[in-house]
Amino acid sequence: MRGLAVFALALAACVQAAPHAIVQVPPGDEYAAGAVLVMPTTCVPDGVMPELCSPVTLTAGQPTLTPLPASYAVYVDPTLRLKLEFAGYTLAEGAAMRLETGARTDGQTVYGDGASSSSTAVTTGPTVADLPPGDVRAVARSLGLGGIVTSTFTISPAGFGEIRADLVVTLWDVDSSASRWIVRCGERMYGYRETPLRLANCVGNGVLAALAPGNLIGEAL
Amino acid sequence: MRAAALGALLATAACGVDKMPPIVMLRRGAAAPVKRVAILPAECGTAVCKGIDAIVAADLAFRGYDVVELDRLAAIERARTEVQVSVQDTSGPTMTNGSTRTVTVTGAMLSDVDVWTLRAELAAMGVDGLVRVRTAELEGWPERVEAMVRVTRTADASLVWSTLCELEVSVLDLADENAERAVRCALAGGAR
Repeated sequence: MRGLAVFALALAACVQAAPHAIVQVPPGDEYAAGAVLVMPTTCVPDGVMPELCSPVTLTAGQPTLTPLPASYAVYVDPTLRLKLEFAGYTLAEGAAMRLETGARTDGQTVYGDGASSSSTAVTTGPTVADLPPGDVRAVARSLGLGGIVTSTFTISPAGFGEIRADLVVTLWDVDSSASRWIVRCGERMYGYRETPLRLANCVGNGVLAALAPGNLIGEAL
Repeated sequence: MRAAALGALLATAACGVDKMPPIVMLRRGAAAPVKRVAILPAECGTAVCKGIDAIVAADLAFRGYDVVELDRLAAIERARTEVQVSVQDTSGPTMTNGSTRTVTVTGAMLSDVDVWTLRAELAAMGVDGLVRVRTAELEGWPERVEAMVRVTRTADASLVWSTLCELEVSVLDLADENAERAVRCALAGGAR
């Protein structure tokens, strides 16, 4: 009986505590809402192997049920953007905003026996996310967007062969290039999928708690 | 023996625990209602995202919105080329006929245009609202998914309404199914 209790305690100890958000938000609601440009999450290796920033290379050649993506943005961005929008921001997505019109070709072939096949091809071109910072600001200004949201996923050593991950999300003012608010979450990295998902949720909840606390769901920060 | 029985009892009880009911939040902005809306294509661009966009388009149309589907409207006049190939084979003892028809249509749709052209085209069509659909997985135990449908005014990006649903899901469910369920839940919440 005592063994069962010890086992339950040991199991509970394996669950990592939820990360806490560190929020730097000025008083007032001047930057609490509005249309902003949001850029894809970038990864920075800080004193660790650069390959750690490319999850797909970590499992290359290994049999996996679900292959890892090329970038942590796949995990971070959906959650982060959902929370930012529920906090009141209207997001223009830099990676989805084309600078040039793409060429589309739709094809359909019908064979004599009634079988058919169809295809669609659209050329990919540069997007706002591919521009240097100065040009990104110019685009944002031309579209009447007041701010630019950037998010950086940093991986650094955490001692004893471990690594930690930090997600820092910043809203920059387009005109002055000054940061308006910063939200940061970090934890020891224990999964290439789990940690970015948890940190995105943590940062999103930090934004919600600071700017729209009435829209926060679930556990406290 | 007693510990094993207790363990089995706990495991059985855990299987019978109901999921938490969905959490739905609806927010209405101060902006005036909109009539003609365009659904901004999901950035992921996969078949799942397109399917979810289609679910939302159908729901909004049912509620009386004019939904402009950017990937169905040509941005420019598109060029259509049709090639019909007929083959008659007389080399064998019997004559055989065959044909292949290939249709190629080239030219951009509204979903393919650059951001400035898109803005001008939306204004020209009288689109006064933009719809954004988002889904996200939330890591933790139990696993959850969130979906949000948000309508904003085109003119000033102000909120018309947004609805969010957070669902507890099973690890055995497919991510695509979960996303779709969450979107349907959010839409149901927005109908209140």
